[in-house]
Amino acid sequence: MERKLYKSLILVLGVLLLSPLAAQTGREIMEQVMENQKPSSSAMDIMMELIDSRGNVSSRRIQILTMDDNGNIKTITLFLEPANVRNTRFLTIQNDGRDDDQWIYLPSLRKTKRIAAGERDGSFMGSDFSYSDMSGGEIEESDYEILREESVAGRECWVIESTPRSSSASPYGKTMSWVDKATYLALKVHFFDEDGATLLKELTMEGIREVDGFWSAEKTIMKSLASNHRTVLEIRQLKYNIPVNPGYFTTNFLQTGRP
Amino acid sequence: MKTEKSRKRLDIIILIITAVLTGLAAVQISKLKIDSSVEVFIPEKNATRIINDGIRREFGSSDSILMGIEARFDKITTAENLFMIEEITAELKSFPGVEDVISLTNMEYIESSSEGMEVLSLLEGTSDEELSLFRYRLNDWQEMYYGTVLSPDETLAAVIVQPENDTSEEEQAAIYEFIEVLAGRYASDNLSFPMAGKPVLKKEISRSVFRDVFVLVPVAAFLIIIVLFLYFRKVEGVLFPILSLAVSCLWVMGLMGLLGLTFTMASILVPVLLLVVGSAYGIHVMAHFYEALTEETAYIDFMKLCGLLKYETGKIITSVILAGVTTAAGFISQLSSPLGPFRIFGIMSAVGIGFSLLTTFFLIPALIRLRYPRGLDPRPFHRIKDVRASSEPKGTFGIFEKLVVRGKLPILLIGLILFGTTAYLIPKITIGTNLIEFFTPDSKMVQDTETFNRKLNGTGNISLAIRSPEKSGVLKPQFLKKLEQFESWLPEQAEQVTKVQSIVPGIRRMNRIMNYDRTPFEVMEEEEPMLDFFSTGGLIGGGESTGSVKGSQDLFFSGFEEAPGLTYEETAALLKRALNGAENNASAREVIEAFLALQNHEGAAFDEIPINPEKYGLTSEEDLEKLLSQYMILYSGSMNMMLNDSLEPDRILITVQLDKEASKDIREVTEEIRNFWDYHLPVGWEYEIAGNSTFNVVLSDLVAKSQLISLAMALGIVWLIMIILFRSIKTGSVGMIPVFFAIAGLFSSMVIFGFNLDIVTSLLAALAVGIGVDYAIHFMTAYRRELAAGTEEPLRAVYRTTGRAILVNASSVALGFLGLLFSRFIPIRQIGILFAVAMIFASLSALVILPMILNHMKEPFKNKTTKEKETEEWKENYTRA
Repeated sequence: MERKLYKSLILVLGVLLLSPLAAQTGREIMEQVMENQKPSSSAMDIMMELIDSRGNVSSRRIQILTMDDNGNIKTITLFLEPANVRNTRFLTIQNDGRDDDQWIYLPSLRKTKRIAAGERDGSFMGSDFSYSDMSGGEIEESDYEILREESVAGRECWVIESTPRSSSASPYGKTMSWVDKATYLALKVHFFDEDGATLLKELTMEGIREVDGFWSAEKTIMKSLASNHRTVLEIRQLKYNIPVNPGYFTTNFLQTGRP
Repeated sequence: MKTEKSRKRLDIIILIITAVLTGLAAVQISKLKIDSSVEVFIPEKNATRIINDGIRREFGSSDSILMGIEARFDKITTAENLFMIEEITAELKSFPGVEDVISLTNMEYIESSSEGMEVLSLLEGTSDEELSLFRYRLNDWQEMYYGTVLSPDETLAAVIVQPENDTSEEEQAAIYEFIEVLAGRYASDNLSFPMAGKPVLKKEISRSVFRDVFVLVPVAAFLIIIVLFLYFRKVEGVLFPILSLAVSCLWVMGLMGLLGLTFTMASILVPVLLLVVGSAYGIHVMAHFYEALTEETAYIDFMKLCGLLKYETGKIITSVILAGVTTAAGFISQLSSPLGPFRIFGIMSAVGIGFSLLTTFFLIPALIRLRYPRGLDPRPFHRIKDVRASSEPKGTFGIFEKLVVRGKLPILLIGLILFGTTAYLIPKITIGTNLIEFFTPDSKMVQDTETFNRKLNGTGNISLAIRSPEKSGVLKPQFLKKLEQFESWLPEQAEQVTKVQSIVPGIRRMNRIMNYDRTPFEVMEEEEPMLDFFSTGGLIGGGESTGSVKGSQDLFFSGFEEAPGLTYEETAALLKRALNGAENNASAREVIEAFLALQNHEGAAFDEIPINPEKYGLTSEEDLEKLLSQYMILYSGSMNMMLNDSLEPDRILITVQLDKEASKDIREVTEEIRNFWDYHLPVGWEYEIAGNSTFNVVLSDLVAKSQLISLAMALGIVWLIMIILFRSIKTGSVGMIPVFFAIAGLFSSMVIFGFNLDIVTSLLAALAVGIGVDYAIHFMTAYRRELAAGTEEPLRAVYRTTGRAILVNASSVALGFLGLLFSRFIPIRQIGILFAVAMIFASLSALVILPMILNHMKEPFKNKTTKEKETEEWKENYTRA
């Protein structure tokens, strides 16, 4: 199910890639980094290309609107492509201490349905991103170690290994992140199997830029090594801290398309 | 002529070289690996293999391991048992190389309500209340759970362990071993743990191959030792030939290790065959040596011993080498096989025969010379003659002689009957390779597979992949409707089909959930234009709020009305409608479903593949297609095993499950699948059939092809050798008669004993040609020798020497092959029996039918060969000396 979708894109763009890191001075800086990546609202227009081992491409286009409502994030996701799912809308409201509320509107049925589903480790819209990739994790769930310093695409990076404290915290045995010293963005992330030795997926970021005071990447590429399948996520438009009508984050908007 | 000193030095050098080579070979043997996969038998370019690999890549499927948990005294769904399954599931899930584990304790259940859908765990806990909820959910979505993870009688649960897509054979084996550890931990009088799946089969084959190597080789060696001892009654008569055999076996296995070749079910036979077949060569050398000693009375000094050995080996070298060459030809003919492991088996066995000939003619004489460095007194060896004379089967050869002289008519009749019967029986040979049937019926492997076949949906599977010419084509309602029809049609056509798995039940379920509170044929408002937050005049930064979150939620959830209650009459009328509308043989469950559908109770009217747009307030089939794509968003990720794209798939995977896997069963099912889809698929659509079970058919076809080609090739080569040997097409052809008897005996026995022609037994015919012709060669060269020497009763003379050797040889080979009965693999046991039969047929026909025909020929043998002339000249010189 489209659980934690709000996290999905925010995280792909920022938090996810920053979350498993330890900066020079440790966890406090990490927390600060994560805090810095939380805008009061955001809007994104995203093109996602799923490319299989034979080069067949399948495209998705979605738009995501988020707002921070006293620390609880509300997200509305709009499906634009492929045509068959156009106008499908998805609403997630984060709750303190309990599962998120989720609703979906299916245009072919002209109906809004509430969806209650537990945590899922399935693929997000058939891409190489899983829901858990999208939701990142809490900072205290892992231990962090700076392995070395290395440059990626001419940018000086820390190479940081994150090891989850328990297997329930993450589906991965460990991750390795190359964090840009200048922007605090992870330009490259390696995801390892539970045994901590087999490399499962590789994430790379391209086109680092600053938008409305936030650093983000134009393109994020996730590659699954076993299947040689990859997903290219391109941010076409991006706005942070914009005034957003709270009426969007309602089932009424889902049902009518009007805030 | 060599001096005594140089001769002895040469012998020591031979011994040292042999020892060094054997030591090197032993090192290489440790590198030998066992390859138990079935794929190894299937050429990489085979169409089914290519399709199967394509399907695996596209749908990311790999072979899963089925771990069963079977309760003997209670149900597997008790709180205690479920708790155990939960623990097993969790442990397996965290094991390296495991992609996913599916069991009763982690499957989901989708519940619908007027609000929407809720994805729940099928099993939430083991309290009484939670267990009754579990039971309700099992029954509510039976097709999801029964037959897949739970047997209908609830005595067997399955834990499906899916290895990661790129796991190696070793990793898969490690997973299986861990499952065995878990099974061992929980096993009790009540609980047993059947296992199935390809990784299990592979591992079991691997274990059996390994064990066979360590059992069959010593057993064959032991049997040969017995034969050698009975024949020679002397330690060296046993030791020297067995040493020469052991050396050649080690060399060939070392060579396999050096070349990085693997032990398969075919190559496992190499050392055994070499021991059995090669023993004949040593027997010939030792027999002739001892025979020569019985003629001598005075002390034989070392140089005379050397001369004697040279003369005796020279006498038989042609026929022994020819016998080796024809045997090798039988092996070499496997090079024409489309099956890779057969080619390796063929070439390695042929090389082994070469090694065996080398050791026979170099090592054995060297050992004899080193054993008697000062020569020997031949008188003690006369005892051997006496022993043999007393045990000489005079009776047998007496009968043979009578048959040759007077038994033309009965023999002709027997021959005709045999060949007639064979011609009649050959088409009845069952061609089929079902790896499960390689194990004995009482083995755990077979018992476990039967348990799964009896209680669950079976272990066999056929994959059917259908491709539409356009994106989302496979989500077209018309196609899905056909697929739904196929799912109920196929099991009716073919009883071996237990279940057809596809996305259909998932779509029906989602359709029902999403239309929980819809009235069929309800008219809907127009669809709004496309929303775009970023378009000109889009919604970003739009003005004031038009409603609070809470307000709109209330508005939404207050939109439903309770369905009005029904009177008794209305209920009865609906029930009657449901009953009359149902099919004649509908079950109570189906009638109740129909009754619920009439009132759309919990969306029951929508438990279907949407096919009528109007029922959904839509106008076209395209609208329905969009609806199905939108359902796919809800299934995102979990349909990847069946669709090549989660939103716009153009390829769908359908799995046909089977409880019988013989080639015949698979052929029937694939034929029915083809019939259905050839008729129902529109132009431009394609389908492909593969899957594990289809390899049984592929193997059968390859085996049949391989059998014909290799048999023809072996016959051709051997015939050519016979013609060259006897320098006459006619005589050479007559020499082929024992071969045809061997083949006739072989194929007839296959039908009579009910043996399949499979990947192992199909090796046999060509080998029987190569080995069976040896008796003809030995007999005919001896007969020619006696005729040329002008012996008074040539047949009797041949019977006394070569005839007896042939019988001893045939019985030792037959006995050696019977050692294969100790194999864990049924086809290898069958090979043992069939070879024994073939050798008996070949030897008897060589001893009885050949002389009968040769006596009828005017001049069966042309002049002596140069080699024979040389040997005779040498003999004269030697006698004079």
